[in-house]
Amino acid sequence: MEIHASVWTWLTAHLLHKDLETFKFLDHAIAAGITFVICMIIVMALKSRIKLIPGPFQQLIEVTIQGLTGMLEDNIGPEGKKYLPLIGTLAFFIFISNLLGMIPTFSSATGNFNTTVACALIVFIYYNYQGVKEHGMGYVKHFMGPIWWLAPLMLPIEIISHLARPFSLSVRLFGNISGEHIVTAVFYTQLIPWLVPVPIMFIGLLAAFLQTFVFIMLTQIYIAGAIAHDH
Amino acid sequence: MTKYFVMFLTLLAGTAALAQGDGGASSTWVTPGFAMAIASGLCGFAQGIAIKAACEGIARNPGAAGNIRTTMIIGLALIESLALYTLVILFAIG
Repeated sequence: MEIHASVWTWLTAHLLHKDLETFKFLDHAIAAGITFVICMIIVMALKSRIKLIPGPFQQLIEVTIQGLTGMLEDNIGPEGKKYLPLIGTLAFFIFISNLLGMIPTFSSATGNFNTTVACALIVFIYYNYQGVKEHGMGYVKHFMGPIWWLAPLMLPIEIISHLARPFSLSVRLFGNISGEHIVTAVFYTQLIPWLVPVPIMFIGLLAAFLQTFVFIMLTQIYIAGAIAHDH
Repeated sequence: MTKYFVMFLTLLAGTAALAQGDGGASSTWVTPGFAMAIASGLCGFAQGIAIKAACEGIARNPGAAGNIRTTMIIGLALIESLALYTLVILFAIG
């Protein structure tokens, strides 16, 4: 699959006096850097200007944080709020990265398999770590199933289904974002470039919202399953 | 009866197309094309069932519309991802 580079990669390659071909594999890293810079701009615009009566930008961020906290408390329970740093980071990063690819000369960091595997691996390691922190070594009982003599059957099934989770998280996000880019590119270059790419880009915009939502919802469900106390 | 016969002949023609060997660049897209078509068709079918259940649930209980809508969106995204795995494998192989 050919990697299409953004204009920033071209700029970096020219500023460092190197060839664009050797820089194309860094395209997702540069796009992730630009996403990070935009997230930091959002944070720093609010850092010193939090007022008691909020202005419009502060209201927007407050509504977002309220929505995330509500989702956390619905899915994980009363102690859900302490997972807000991870969920908020993932939500902002994935959302802004998805949206950035919609702009014509930019490329998405999440349109590359490496970035999405990184996000999914962070979620995998985090929820297992939370499970071990909550239950100690009794966390292995989660993999044994409800009845003790079914454990040799349940253990491989549970391990395989747990290993399928980061795989499906990463491939889902990567496939949605890069699939939309590839289909738009095919329509622009090989099929009908007049007006037909517009519904496809609209679906891509919906997918940007939806895939962020599904990613953080699944993260919360995995965390809730790992720290569950019913057996 | 003739409708099923025509369908059967179409499937035989498809087998002949796959058996033609590496005649040109167009024949390497037959298998991924069929795979993606089958995946998208079944995905559409399953999402139709999910939306049908969601609409009936909202019709019975309009007060729970928010929860049902959220569950429907999550279910649709998860079913969509199954068709997307096929697309990713298509690009990884072809």
